[in-house]
Amino acid sequence: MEAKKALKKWLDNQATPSDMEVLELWPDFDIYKKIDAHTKEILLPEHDIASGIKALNENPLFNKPRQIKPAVITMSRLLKIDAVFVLLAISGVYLTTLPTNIQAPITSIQTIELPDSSKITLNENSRVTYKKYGWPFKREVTLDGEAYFEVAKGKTFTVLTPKGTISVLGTSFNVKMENDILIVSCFEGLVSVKANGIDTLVSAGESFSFSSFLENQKLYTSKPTWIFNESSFVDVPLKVVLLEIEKHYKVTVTTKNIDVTLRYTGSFTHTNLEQSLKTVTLPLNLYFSKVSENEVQIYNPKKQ
Amino acid sequence: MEKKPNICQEAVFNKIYKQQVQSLRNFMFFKTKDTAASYDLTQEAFLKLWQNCGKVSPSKAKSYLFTTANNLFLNTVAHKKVQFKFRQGVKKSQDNNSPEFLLEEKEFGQKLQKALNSLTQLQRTAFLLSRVEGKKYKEIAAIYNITEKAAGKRVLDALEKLRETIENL
Repeated sequence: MEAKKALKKWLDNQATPSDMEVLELWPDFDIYKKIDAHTKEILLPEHDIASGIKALNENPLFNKPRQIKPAVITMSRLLKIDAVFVLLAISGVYLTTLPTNIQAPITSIQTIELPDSSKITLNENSRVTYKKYGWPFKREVTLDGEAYFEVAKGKTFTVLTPKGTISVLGTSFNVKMENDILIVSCFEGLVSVKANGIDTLVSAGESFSFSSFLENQKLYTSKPTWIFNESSFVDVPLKVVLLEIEKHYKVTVTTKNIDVTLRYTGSFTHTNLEQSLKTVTLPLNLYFSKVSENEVQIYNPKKQ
Repeated sequence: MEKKPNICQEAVFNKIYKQQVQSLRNFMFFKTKDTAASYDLTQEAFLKLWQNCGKVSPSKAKSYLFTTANNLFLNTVAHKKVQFKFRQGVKKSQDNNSPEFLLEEKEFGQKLQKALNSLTQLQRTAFLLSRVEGKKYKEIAAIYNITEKAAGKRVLDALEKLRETIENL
């Protein structure tokens, strides 16, 4: 039993001198020793290292594109964290400089909600540009045309137009560019306008035209009427109102026995011609009739 | 930035080649009993190591080579009938050089050759790794991914089988 144990250790190449003593005294060990000695004389192929490496280098598969882990050059953990921040900073800079451009279709009104839930209503054929991703840092909009702004409270909100800059903190106001004239109407709060070198405050219920001179006008509505598809007038000649109807409905309006300098205050809708004509003619005791599909006549029945 | 040794670097690969190629070649030789086949398998295993250099760390290269070579061997089904050759003039230390003794030694060598052929491939390779390469049970166990005890049994079984075969010839 002891011999078997020693034999196992000997085979494991771990026999101690005392194990060897036991084995040498064991008759069976002779043949094992002989087998071992002869086995060790096996002729081994001698591997030529130089020619082996050369053969590998000459193998066409040897220089094939290899699967190299990106970890060939290991970065320290700190450097990895740094790299992430650099990437974030670069993408951040890129995204904040990326402008969002929104243009309203030529014949309809469009409402845009900004990231801070401020709202811009764009009139027909108008355009705004702003930076969506940089919005929390800088509330700035570039306007071309006409738009109504409902600004959520927060940092200064700026509207840039070719004719001037409007800045506010949180209010509702309308900005219109027409024939190079900037018209700012404030419906709520206070608006500061810088145009033509003039710095003015427009308070709620006021409308300012910034041309070569300042023109102040009172507002009678809580919102600009165009956003409801209406045109409104305060004490204007009937002639002007009729021209507006012609423009919106693409019809010809003729008059008979009428004084077109009559003053009119009110508004008409852009969606229904018949209703518009009624709202304009009724207060002035006038009548209208359709001459043809594209022609309307307004007349005074008492004056025939 | 620290630069770790990587097998994809040719100097590192060549170093591993120098360190491991002979023992891998012997391992393949014990399996195949064939000089040419063992050369091809050894070279192929190193080629595989090079192709996967990015996936294998230098410390794992040795076990990767042995496992790969073993798998490559299993793919080569055809076994040639070959025998191991032994060096002539065994036991120079022995003073007894009588013709009877030399004849007996020669006969024993022939018997051992036949006996080695009667072993299974696994027994033979384990036995030769132990006797010729001087590997411990632990190292053999690592190559075959078996327990140390199983590796020891494989070597001992091989030895007893050899003795039995030789005595019956």
